[in-house]
Amino acid sequence: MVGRTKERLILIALLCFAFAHTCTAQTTYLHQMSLDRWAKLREVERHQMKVAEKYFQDRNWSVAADEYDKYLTLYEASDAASHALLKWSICQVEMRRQNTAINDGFRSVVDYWPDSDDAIAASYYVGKTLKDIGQTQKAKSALNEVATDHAKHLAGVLAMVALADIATIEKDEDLKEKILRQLTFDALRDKLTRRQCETASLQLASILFSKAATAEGIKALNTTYQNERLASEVVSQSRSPLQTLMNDNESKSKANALANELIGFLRAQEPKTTTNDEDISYAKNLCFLVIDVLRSARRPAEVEKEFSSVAKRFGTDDQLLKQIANWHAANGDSGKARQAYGKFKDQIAGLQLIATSYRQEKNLAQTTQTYNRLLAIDPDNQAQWKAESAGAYREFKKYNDAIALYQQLGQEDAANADRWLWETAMTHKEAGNWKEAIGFFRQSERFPESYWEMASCHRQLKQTNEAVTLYNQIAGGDKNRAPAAMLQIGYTQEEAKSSDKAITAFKKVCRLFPKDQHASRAHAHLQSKYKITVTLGGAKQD
Amino acid sequence: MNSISVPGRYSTAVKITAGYLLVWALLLLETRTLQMVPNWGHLVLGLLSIPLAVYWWKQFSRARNQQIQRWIIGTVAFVVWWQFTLVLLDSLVMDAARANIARWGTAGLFLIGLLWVVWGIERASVHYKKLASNHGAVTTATAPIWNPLNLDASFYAVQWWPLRPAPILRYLRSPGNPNLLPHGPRSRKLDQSFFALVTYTAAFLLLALLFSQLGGCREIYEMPAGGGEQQQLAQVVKIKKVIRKKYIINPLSSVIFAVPPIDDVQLELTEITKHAYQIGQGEGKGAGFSGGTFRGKVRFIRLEYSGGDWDQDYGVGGDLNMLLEYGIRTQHKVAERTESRTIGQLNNFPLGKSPPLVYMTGQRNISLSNSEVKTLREYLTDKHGMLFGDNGGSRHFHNQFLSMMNRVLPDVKPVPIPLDDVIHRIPYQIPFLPYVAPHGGKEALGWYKDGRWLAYYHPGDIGDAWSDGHAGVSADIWESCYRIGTNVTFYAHSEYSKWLDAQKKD
Repeated sequence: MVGRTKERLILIALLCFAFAHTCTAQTTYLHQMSLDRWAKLREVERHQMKVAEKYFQDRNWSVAADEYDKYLTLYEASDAASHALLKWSICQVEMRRQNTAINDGFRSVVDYWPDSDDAIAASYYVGKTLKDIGQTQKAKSALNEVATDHAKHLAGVLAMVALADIATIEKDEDLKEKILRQLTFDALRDKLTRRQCETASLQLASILFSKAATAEGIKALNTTYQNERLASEVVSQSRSPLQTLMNDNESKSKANALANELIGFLRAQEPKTTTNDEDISYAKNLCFLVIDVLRSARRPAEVEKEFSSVAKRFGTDDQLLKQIANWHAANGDSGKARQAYGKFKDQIAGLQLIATSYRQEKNLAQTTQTYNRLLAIDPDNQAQWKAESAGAYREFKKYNDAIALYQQLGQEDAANADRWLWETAMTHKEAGNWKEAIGFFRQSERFPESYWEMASCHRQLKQTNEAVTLYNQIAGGDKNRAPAAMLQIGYTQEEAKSSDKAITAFKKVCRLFPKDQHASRAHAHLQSKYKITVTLGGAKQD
Repeated sequence: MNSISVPGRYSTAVKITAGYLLVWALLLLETRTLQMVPNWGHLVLGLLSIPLAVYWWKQFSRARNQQIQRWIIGTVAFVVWWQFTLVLLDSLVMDAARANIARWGTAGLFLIGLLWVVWGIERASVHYKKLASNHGAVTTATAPIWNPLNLDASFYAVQWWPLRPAPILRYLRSPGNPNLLPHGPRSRKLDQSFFALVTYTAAFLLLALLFSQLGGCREIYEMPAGGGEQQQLAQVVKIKKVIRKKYIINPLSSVIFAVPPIDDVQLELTEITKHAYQIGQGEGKGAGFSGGTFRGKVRFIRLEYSGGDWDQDYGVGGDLNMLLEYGIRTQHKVAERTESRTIGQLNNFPLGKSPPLVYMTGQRNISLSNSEVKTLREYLTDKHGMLFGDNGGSRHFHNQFLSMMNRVLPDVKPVPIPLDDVIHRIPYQIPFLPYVAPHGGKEALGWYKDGRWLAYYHPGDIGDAWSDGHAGVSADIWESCYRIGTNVTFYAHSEYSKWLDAQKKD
């Protein structure tokens, strides 16, 4: 139950993330000047605007703000003055002066150029900025105004998205549903707003399914998807709500009603004739979707019945067998799952799944036996199956067998020799054969990873000098890894009880890379372990 | 049992000592609750214990059979002198030493108590053994013995140590049935000792817990009274003309000497702070807060929590520097030292008299119980408090702090605090966020609700910049860090004062 709730939360979080991400992308359209407008500007105005825009693109906010300010001073009466002020305000937001941006920027755009497109964008930015600085109540009223007055504008759609976000934070489910409905059914879907509306329809459907409002949920999804895709999205969006409803005794009847309605909808989608391959495939997929719903509704008998019915109607193929096997595996009956895999027409795919199943059951003997069968029947992919087999040995801590296989692979598959060398070295390391591991890492061409691993092995062997030398070589050869390598020198010296050298190394990290996160770690370590305070230069916000 | 007797000639001394101990106990209770008696009162009382202890020691030091009396004197003297040392260190503002003495003293007290328990049990066992040998036939026939001091108690037949659950469960199911008890040679004494140790430890912990909870059954926080403006400190330049005397000379004179410059006017520019004595909130006289009292002071309270090093840069040379700087910069009355409280102790402050700001730092884990989370939430929302979080040195602490706040204020999301927000403008304009090391990023985060910041989180070890040596950062950085500290402290107090004013009006 917890796992499923977690899954649902992850799904919602992903949807919210996608929502937010698309919004960020779309906001850039809000403050872009149209070509028509650009054409109307005088040459001098264009020049000044170009300069400002260049700095804006380069994210040099302070200079860009000054340039927009200069534009406003020089060409106050220009057609693009409102645009310049809007951009100036965005620069202020980027420089974390949001209050200044709202009061002296966005609101001035609305007050001085109320009929311009920039005013609509500015009204949205007022709300969004207020939301971003935590003033949700004020943000709500500002965003509401934009959403109501400009429902068909990109700003209006973005305002609704921001309002839905606030409702999520405040756990105001009613408001959230209301806004998602507006976005799904009422908002204008064009090139710019389509993605927000589509994401909203998915979120709304999920909410409606959790209330067992099946028809409305399907209707919401139907605004975005049609035909086969609609059916699969209906099942996909209803799966988690259905499982959640099934978990609670009080909502079980609701869940059953939802499942019945979903099945009814899926049955209704079936093509009347199944003469061509496309129709057959569609009808079969619909049956699998029905099985999916039945599984979520925990009706095992009906699932079995549906499998038989599919087998009768469309014959037994690998797709059906995989579904059956998944069903048995989900019920904890791996034996039956493997039986189904064993009936696969594509023997290789079936055996691969059988091997995976044995691996999950931690049955090494059967796993390797299955891989051996694969080796016998699939001579073209010897390397793949040997590597899988070696992986299984490693998984079960049979390091010698794994190493033997990797070495064999190294001779047989010369094209990937370095890869097998690396795997051999890693297996030796996992087995605690530090010296052997070092030998193989030394032969690898992967720099600096091989040096890193060698150093770690030397540390295990208490060979401090060798480890330090290797870390120094990494620091000299890869500037991105240098802070981490130098920090490790500190830890290595510490392990060797050379406190003075360790302190020197930690101090060096702080001195050479004060802005790096490893310096922060070194700083904290020096302070907590040695009570030494070292400056990282202390900096001001960038 | 043999009783410990005090000869009749000591009756006056006993009365004096008992009276003294009674006063001492009352004062000890007072330090944990009212805190009205000044430290010197406690010190004087503590000093009085020395002649008393010397007197009693002399009385019992010679005779060999009075060893127990000497132990009693030693025990009482230990407790009194331990507390005296704590008060003394408290007065000398030696926080670290005080904390150590408090810790080791508690351990010592536990040990001494344990010795007394062992001694008492031993005496009791001997006593009951004697009784049993006198009436052996009678006792074996009677019902099971329940007195734990008696070695023949029925439950000592169960093996309590080393712990074996099966016989204990069997015994608990039917306590009177001797057939269910394990057979074979085993030590009842060991069981009794184990039992005594467990019981004593539990009792000691319980008492310690009760005593620590006493610490502020009623505690109040009062801001300094006064008023002032919530305005930015404006630097103004005062100009003073210094005109030197000039010689009026005739350039055609035959006397030759250096001709001084004709416009010898020197300007003396003095930068002064316009609002230096007016920072505050409300309309009272002097710098302070309208919601404050004349006894009130701005105090710097940090939160103690489990899991981490809450006491980083604590006290003299640490956060005390910030408190003193705040006093100098705002002219508000400030406490002489910084303090610490557990989160649970925030409950001891009543509504309207609770600290407007508490500080929290560290670099390891923050482990709060559900009740602590609730207390902190109540403090922030109902009691109108504010939390000042500071990342003392790791990304881990950053995540821990955010996760803690997510539990405390689940319906408020952290947002980066604008640099032009009131908290970054008054009394000092903070153009950039200064930090010692960007352990948790480069942005100050805030939790905003109901028109104010409930929590301010500095990601870059601001506490290190306040401490002696300023973590080696340059003067403009640590100066900026003091300014942020001043701003946040002032913000919390002025918001609290406004809230108190609003409540009065209601």
